[in-house]
Amino acid sequence: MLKMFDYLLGMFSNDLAIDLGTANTLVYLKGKGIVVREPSVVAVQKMPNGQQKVLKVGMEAKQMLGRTPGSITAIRPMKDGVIADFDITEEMLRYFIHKVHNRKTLVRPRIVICVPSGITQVEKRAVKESAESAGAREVYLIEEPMAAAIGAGLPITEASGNMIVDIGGGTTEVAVISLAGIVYAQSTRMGGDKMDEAIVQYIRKKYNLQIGERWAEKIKIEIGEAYPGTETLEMDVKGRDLVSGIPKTIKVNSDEIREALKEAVNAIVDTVRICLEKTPPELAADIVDQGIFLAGGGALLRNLDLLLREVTKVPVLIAENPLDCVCLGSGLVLDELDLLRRVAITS
Amino acid sequence: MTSPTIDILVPVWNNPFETRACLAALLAHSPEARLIIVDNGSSRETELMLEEFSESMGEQGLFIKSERNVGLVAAINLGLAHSDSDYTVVVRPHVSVHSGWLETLVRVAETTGAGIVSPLFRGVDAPKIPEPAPVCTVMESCTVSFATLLLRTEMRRAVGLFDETLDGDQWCLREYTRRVAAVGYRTAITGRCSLITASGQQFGSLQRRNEMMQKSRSEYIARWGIIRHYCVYFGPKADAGSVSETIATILNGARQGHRFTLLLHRRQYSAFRKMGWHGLHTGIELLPLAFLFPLRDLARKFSALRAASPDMLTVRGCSETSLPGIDAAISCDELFNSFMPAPLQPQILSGALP
Repeated sequence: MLKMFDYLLGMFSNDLAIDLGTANTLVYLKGKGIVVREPSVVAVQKMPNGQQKVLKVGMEAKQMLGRTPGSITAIRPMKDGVIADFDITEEMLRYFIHKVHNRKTLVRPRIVICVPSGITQVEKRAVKESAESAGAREVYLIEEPMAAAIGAGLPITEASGNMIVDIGGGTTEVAVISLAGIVYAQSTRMGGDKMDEAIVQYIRKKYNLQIGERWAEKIKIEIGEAYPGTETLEMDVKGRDLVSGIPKTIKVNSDEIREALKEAVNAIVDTVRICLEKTPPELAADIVDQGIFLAGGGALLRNLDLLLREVTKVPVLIAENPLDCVCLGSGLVLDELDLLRRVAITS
Repeated sequence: MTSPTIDILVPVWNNPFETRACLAALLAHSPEARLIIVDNGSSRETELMLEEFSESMGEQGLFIKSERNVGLVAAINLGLAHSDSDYTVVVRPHVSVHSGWLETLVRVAETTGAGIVSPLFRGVDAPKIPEPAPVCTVMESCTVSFATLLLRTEMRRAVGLFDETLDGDQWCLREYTRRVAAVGYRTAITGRCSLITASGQQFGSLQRRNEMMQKSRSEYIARWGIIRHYCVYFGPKADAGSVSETIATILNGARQGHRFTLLLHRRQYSAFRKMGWHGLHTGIELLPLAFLFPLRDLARKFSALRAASPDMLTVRGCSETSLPGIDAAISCDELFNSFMPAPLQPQILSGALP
């Protein structure tokens, strides 16, 4: 009976694919493409009775980061690619599901959710239950590197080896995919957030200047680089002087930011190198021919491809839409149910 | 007489659940053997499982770790270099062993003196090993698989390790069995032991695998010469006694990797079977001709063989034999000269006959 009810409601719902990332959440609506692209941030007000009330989700909540009064906190419910706060994640998912269905109340969509490849059974279960509680009729989990590879247009169903490096906000996933399966995957809890933190620490240490995460992200996007380029870029950075306590503006250049990002970038390069070493020679030979594909926001870090090429001696290519690859890939499998069943993981 | 010492070599790359099941079965069904586990650059999960497994084995196990994935053949060679028992049995983790499997393989090696012994395999995508002829339990062969392979250490010392530059599959094994034959050891398959295999992993694009196979084939030919398919016809008058020398030559050729199809009249076919020549080698096939109009059947069968194998060479079993409608047949003497000196009498592996 319940199944029939689900089926009926399902007829009025649209299938969704969600890239539940540490930094951003993207939602793909079947037949329409990516319709939501918002930060994974939720603004929560603490009530006198101890309960939490969700005030804003996404972009509006992110704008409240660091500008909230004591009773309101902006929370990032995802940490290192996995759910850190079960209830808040559920609220966030509910918000996104209703947003793409134009706030209709009775919706029971089929949802594909991407998860990092190294997560535990408990973490998988948490994602699945969150989505079910948020109103999903059926939940399929697919691993992020697999979704990224599909989104990047790699021939994943063929026997040849394809290597994808998905540098997200919380994790970097390196995977070798062949015959619609992940042959080898290596995950490191290093991503865009750790790079931002590294920039904050570097500027604090070198200039005694306290800057926020948003500034750090801006610096990373504007002048951050992994490998020396042809020109040195500069930008003004505003923050609070730690000695005098007054606002101050300084100039930083790309060489300094490269130095700040060195550790984070090296961790990513090491993960790729280890993955290549542990890949059977037959597949490694295919990767040498076809190249390594970079996806995720971290792929946009200037000259990261050059550095990887220098270290691995393998061609490195950046996917067409690195930020959208994972979501596009998981959305594409919504149209091909056979492929979805092949690539979906069991929880 | 003391029982021989045995090492079981398992090259491992990921698949921790499958590997654990295989290792547990090996421990349960071959407790007297020493396990050599070669971790070929596995993931942390597999590595932890192997470490945990090795700890409980103590002296009975040897754990070798390679930080990089060096490929299957190189991993096997790495393990073989550490093996000093009388026999080493290579077992891949997708193979499931049962009770008595090891005793059977060792018994075959001991009784036949074979240098390599392979079991048969069952299951989807099981390695294609030619089965011994009906009623034969042991037979010589050139086709074996890395899935499970018993190697005599004495032979290994004479032959050396597997060639890592070849394809890591059939050509590598073919080249090895050829080297084994060159030092006087046989390669045998036994129907007494049949192991279940899960689907083995084949890596790399089809195009690359084909390229590697072609390269390995060329390398093999450069070292050992071309592999041929011979079709032999003895004529209606030849009997088993008069062709035994030719059969010895043929067996020698089969040991060198050549394939022989013997087109036999009914009477010859029965006599050959009675002599046990249907169980000499998997590379020798006895094909009976029809009782009525045998020559017409000969032409028909010959055409079918020629269509399947255009480069096939035809051999006249006796000098007076004529092959109606078939030109360019070579004589047995020419065949004899193609191969190395053969033993005078065809020797059947002990135990090959019922």
